[in-house]
Amino acid sequence: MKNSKVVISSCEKDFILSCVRSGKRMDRRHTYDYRKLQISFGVDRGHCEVQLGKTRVLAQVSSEVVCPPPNRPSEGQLFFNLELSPMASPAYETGRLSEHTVELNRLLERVYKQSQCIDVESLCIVTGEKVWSIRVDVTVLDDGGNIIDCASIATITALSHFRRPDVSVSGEDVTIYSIEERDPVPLSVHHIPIYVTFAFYDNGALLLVDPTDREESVMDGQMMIAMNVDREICAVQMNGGLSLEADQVLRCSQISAVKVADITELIHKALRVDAEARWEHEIKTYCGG
Amino acid sequence: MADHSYDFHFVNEVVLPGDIVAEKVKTKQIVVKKIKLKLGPGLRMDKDNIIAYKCGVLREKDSTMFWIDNDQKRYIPVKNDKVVGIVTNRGGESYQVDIGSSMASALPFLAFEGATKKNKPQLKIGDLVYGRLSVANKDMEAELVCTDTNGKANGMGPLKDGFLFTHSLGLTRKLLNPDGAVLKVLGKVFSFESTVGLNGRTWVNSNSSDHTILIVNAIEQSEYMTLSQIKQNVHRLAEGMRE
Amino acid sequence: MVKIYKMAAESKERKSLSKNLLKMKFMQRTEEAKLRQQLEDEEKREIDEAHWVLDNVEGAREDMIEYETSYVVCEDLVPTGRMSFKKFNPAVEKLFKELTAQKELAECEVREMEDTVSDEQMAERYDSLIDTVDKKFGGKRKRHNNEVTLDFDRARPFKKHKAQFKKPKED
Repeated sequence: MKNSKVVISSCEKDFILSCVRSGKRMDRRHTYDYRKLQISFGVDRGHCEVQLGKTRVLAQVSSEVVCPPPNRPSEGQLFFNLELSPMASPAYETGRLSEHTVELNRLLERVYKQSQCIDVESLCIVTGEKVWSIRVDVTVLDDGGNIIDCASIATITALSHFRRPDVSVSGEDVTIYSIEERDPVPLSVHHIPIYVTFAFYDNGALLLVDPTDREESVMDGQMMIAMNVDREICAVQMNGGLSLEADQVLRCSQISAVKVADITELIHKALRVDAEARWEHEIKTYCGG
Repeated sequence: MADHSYDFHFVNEVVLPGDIVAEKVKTKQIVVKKIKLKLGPGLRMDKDNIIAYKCGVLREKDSTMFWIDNDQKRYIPVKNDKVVGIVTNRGGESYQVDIGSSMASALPFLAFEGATKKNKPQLKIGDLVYGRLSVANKDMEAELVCTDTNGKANGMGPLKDGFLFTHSLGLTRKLLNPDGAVLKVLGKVFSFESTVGLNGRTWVNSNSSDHTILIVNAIEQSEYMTLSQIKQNVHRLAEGMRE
Repeated sequence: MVKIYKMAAESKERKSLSKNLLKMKFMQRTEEAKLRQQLEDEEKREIDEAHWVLDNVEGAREDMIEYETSYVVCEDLVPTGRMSFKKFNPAVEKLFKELTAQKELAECEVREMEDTVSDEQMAERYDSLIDTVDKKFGGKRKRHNNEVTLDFDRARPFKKHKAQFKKPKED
């Protein structure tokens, strides 16, 4: 739940609740509509910015070679660090790790580490000695509600976009090749789990997909379902201590399946467009040079 | 007496914090009438230069007043600004009101028109008030009053019902500009009431929630639109409603 | 000069209103406002006198520049944010018109003030005239020493920059 510093007036509360009850939304969306999603990439590999309505999240992937812990000698490491910059909302402060930040970090870790969507064994260079450590820095640039969906899209898209330097091992010698020497290699992403958030009102009787910050501030509770395109549920989280009807939960999972399919397609399209642009650029520089 | 004036560059251009906007120049001619130069928000003196400390477009008026037309989301209290606040707490002598700035402001119980110890408006937590900042100081708590300098309310006081939404401070000034178009265009189509606070909060009330949603959307979308686009947009939205 | 003061005093006596009228609420408000203004002036004077002032160059330079913190003044924004359209709230609509009219009136006055002669200037002018007229009836020999031109600007005594205590700025 959000910091209590966000002030909401009773007139906003009443108005939004009356709108929810009559099936209207402030941004003229329907109850099950997702906001407009835009995915863009930076010049560097693994730099991805996602905009969902007014919410904006930036993810940057980086890699380094580290020594693995003795209990998992042949697995690469994944590390997620989400930060709520004070630029996103006046409610966020720098330096202090708020409960909200911890919760968002845990949500990301849970779905992207435990669902094994990234093949960590392929990140091993020399067992027990050298493995790749992949770090994803997620920065929330603007908070317009539903940060977790936006952050999860940014994270997995950035991971799919990222290329790590190629390595070769001959005996004891490990060589890490620069980009000029050998083409960097992509991470092996098995599947793409994405969070879809639902906000509940009137003790779970009413629900909204992809709530905005105003809608979030008056909700009774929320549920996030992480799912991939194969309709496999990777993580579920509920906040607010609501007791939902079983069919409500089922409905949510069905909605999220539809949304995840749409979003996954968008991610693939964005990646394809970027790959084509890079390829064209490469041809141009090759021919021009 | 050696007279001097200031030579401004970048008028109507974008400037960044730290840019030197004007230099002091000595003038040989005797200045008959001493004109005071007025520096608005975003400009300040640095030795003999005038520098910008906000980014935005440098504007001038009558070549005596200069300021930076900048757009930001966070409000910094300025004395005599009229703002929309949310009551967050009730103290012994005053309400605590959030005006969107870094600190809350205080609204004394008696700072309303005709308020006496026995007869004063009762506000609840979460209520909205439209008031004027009587104290706005970087070292002190801001103070809000719901009267003008003559003790008249002049439209200030609690706001009931309706809907509040927040937006950038640039949009606020667009709405409050006498030449501002959105509200006028909307006003020809809908019957509604609005209160624009300089702190980037606007309160809208109309006959139905559909109208309110539409008005809020039209205002939000108008920020980067031209006059003809605004007109078109409002009519499009209004027609969509009728269907 | 003495005469003028006397006349002023007389006219003041004549203009005084009945007690009953003065007790009425609307009269009292003006009285109060006057009194408050007077007290404020007094207070300001006392503060001014109680402080030491350095008449340094720094102050003179600062005089050229004035800070205006409000966008309302810079961009000529409307005086109130409350607006109503199509008779949704007629009271607000009326108020908005009044306030905008007031603002325009005030602006007109400022513009007029710039063009016309102020009361003070008028008084100063007559001040000097009285001297001139007085001198006309004085000894002829003295007259040429005290030639007073009728040129308006020069007739005004040269105002020396009086060092004043400046209140620390509020922000």
